[in-house]
Amino acid sequence: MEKDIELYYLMKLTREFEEEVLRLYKQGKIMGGVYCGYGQEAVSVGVTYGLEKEDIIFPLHRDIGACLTKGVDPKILLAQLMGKKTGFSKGKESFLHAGDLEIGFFGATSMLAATLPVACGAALKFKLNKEKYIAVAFFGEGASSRGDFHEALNFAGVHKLPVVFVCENNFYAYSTPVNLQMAIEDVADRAQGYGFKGMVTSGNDIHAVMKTMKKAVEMARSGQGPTLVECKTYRYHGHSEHDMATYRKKEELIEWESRDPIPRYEVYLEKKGYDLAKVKEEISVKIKGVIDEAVRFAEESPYPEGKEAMEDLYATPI
Amino acid sequence: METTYLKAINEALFEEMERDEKVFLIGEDIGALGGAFKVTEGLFERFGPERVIDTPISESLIVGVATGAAILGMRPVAEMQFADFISCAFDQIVNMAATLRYRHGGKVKVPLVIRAPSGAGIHGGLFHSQNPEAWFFHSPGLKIVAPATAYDAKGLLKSAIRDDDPVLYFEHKYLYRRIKEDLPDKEYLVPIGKADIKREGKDLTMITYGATLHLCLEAANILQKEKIETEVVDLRTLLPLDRETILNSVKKTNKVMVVHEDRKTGGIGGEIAAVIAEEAFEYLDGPVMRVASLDTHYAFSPPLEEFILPTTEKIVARARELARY
Amino acid sequence: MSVKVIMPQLGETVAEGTITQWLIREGDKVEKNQSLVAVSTDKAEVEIPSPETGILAKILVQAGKTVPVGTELAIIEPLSPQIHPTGSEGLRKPDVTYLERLSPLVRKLAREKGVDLAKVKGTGQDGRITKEDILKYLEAEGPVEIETIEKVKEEKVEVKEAPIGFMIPKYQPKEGDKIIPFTKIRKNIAEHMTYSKRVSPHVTSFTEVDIEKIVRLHKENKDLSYIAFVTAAVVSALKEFPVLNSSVVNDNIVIKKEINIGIAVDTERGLVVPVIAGADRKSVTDIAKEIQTLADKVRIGRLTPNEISGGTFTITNPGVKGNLFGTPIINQPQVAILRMGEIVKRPVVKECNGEDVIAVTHTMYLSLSYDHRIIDGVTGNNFLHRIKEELEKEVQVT
Repeated sequence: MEKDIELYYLMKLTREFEEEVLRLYKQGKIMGGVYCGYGQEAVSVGVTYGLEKEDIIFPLHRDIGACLTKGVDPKILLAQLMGKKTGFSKGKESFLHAGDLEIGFFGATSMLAATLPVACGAALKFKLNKEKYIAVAFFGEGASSRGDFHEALNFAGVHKLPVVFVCENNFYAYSTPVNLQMAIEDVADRAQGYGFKGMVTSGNDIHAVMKTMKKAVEMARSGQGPTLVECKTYRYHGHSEHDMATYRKKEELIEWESRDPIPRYEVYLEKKGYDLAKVKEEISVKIKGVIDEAVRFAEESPYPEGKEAMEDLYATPI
Repeated sequence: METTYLKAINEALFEEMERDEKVFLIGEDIGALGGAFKVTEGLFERFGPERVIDTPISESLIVGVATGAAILGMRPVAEMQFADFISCAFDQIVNMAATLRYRHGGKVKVPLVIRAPSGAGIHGGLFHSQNPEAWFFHSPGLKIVAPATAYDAKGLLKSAIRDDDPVLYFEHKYLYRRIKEDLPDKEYLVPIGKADIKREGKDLTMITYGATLHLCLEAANILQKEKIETEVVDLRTLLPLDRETILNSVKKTNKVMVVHEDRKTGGIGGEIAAVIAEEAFEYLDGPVMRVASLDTHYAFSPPLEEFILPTTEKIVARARELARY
Repeated sequence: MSVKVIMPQLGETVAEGTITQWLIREGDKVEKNQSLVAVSTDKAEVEIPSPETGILAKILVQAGKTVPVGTELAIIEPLSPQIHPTGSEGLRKPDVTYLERLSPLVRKLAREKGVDLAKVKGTGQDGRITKEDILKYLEAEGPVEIETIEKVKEEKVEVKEAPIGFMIPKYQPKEGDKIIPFTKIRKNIAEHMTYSKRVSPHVTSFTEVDIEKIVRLHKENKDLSYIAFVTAAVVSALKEFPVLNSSVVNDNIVIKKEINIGIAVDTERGLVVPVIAGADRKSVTDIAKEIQTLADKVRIGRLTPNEISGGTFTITNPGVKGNLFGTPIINQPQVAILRMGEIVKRPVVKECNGEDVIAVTHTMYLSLSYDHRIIDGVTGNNFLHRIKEELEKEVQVT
């Protein structure tokens, strides 16, 4: 697939996939909490697109798009969300709290920013073994308030680790607006305190994201150390699907909806000369096929047996 | 060669780093300084800054980085300068490292060792004396070891490094230079998960670990003069507990007491007593007793510390009570 | 069973009382009739005596409270063996008896070895029986295997184990010795025989029977076995001397209505005793047939439990070699057993035409063991003689 089309496909796939997840959630087939990255597709896809297989991404809960872009099979991802045995966790955890190192994505915990030191560990390994791979750690602006954020960036700066820190600033940590989270405007400004560059980019413009990422990835791979890439974006839904997000003003939502990354990209495709209707049609069909297959696979997959709760605790049980 | 407990740990690190280039150390002041207690002395000179990494003051980061490297196949040995500071890394240990394998359905392993100098008796006050093992004791996915002799310190650390799961290694700082023994020249390992009967006896059992092992052995000598033969079981591994050795000793002597320097309430002695009550109830000819630090903080001033900590006298007194029952 | 202490009616018009003071602390021991609590009404001050010896388990109404007559004030737990929990710090030192300080280990040993703890001296704290105490006791007194005694008999017999002052050391098998562990049947027989001899004082009487007539009848009809004839004879005798068809139950002689004759049969597995039920209602022919059927069943191991239970008298015939006569052991809970000796031609003195002559005739010795608790020599002998008469008379076979 051509790059232009592929980017569109990935963003659309992310959005459709998440919509399917929402549908299944409302049908009670997906339990627990569901977190949507609706509106942030350009960040997830743009940051991850073009990374090598051995590069490792550390996504958070809004980054289904990053996982799909990295090469995660939607079937397995959906099975994971439904708690089936065929998911990454074999049912033991939900959502993106597990990953697949073969594809190069690593699961998070609910303690936001806890993956950042771990990403540094992966980057350290690459550096010590003189490998050219990098770690890419996602986090929201909310997570940047945590101690682990500071410790990780501090260490990465000291050792010039091959890691890119990607901040998805969607202005709200659940219900807390940025002005109650930090005394500065741009999270990217913090990078200076750690001895490296922070770059702000327009998170709803996939090309802007990719351009910035290209620079950051270069820096990391060439041994020049980490970068903090801040993508300004917005989530159209609540923090999770049970959050009505009444803490936001309607005007704000409308303003950001006008910057929806997908219609924006469609404009680009048209301007580039593509037959948009045809592209949309083809992509739609393709995506439907992928998602239908994923739903079928996930629904037919078995649940784990109760006693499996006792398994996989130890590599060498005693 | 007579080797101190501290040197035994140092030797284990040396030998494992020689043996396997994937082993590296990460912690505060472990490189140029050789460690706050000199446990890592000489390693920086021998292996260089890429294998002995000095970090900023960031316990959470230390464990997180070690975890990240471990899942990609390296074998890090992280150090908490004092076990007391392990609380700063609590989340990374119990929620990240201990859950990784489980969350990934068994497809990931975390061969991580966290060394932590624990224990009191050195006038350390509240934050240089703690025994934090109980906080991690009920975390599935972790293993916890606590050697009491130089022999076990070396053998257990080597086993921990070669183990593919996260291992908390609590080295008792009071023992660093105070105990030494002849160690074998040939390489040896001490298995994780197996307790050791350091002294056999038929009248009563003392179950212990860490520094209190030596107090128990002293107590046993005193009790022997009173015709009470004490069996002393050194747990060596706290998680998982060696239930077999524990229960066999209970069945043999029918009277048992648990001795540890960690505080009584919520210390692992309670779990051991519960296991014995559940699984060896009919073998008890007396109640299961405990000797432990009192339920207060590790105070600084000597008379306070002495009041709080277990002593040979306290152990002997309790044992006499039990024997007399 | 807990005993409740209630507020008594101290006077006809009194409807309530006030607890002035508890004289015994909760958890303490109290003797029956010992003053338990001081109570006052507007008429009188009274100390209520304890209704029972035991522990004041729970005080339900505290001092100072006024309650209606009949209110439960406290609960007394009569003394029984149970464990008292020790305090969290140190050991409890109440003045309780040894039975309340039994550790799980001591109870287990007592249970498994059948030890009466009242007999064990306690040397532990406050007289507690320790592990060492019970082990020492077992070494000296020897264990009583409770399970086996229960297996042996339906009715319970108080068997007092005499303390064994003199002990024979057990034989230690040497190399080359063959060790054959007891089968269940063997164990049962061994225990039964020992028990029977212990319970019933055995006396054995003997008689010589001229069995010539029976021999002739048997020759004519081989189906009529000797034992069938003997069985019929025994049945007749039992009708006349029913005390030999009884059981001793506590201090009673229970004379049984039914006459069920057990016939002891030797098999590879051991002795089996199938029973001819209602033998008094059966003819010799019937009996002979039934004996044969049962013997066949025994051979192929097909006896039902009914066929080996309910016997009231047993006849045993242990073969024709080395069996002149013997002293059989009573099959409990019966009170007598008859053993047939080998049938052999012997010279006997007979009267012929008023003169004593020596004739050769088939004879058989019968041995009767009986329980001398209830059967004396005269009765036993008379019974035995009756059997002899039956066998020697002219028999009409029906």
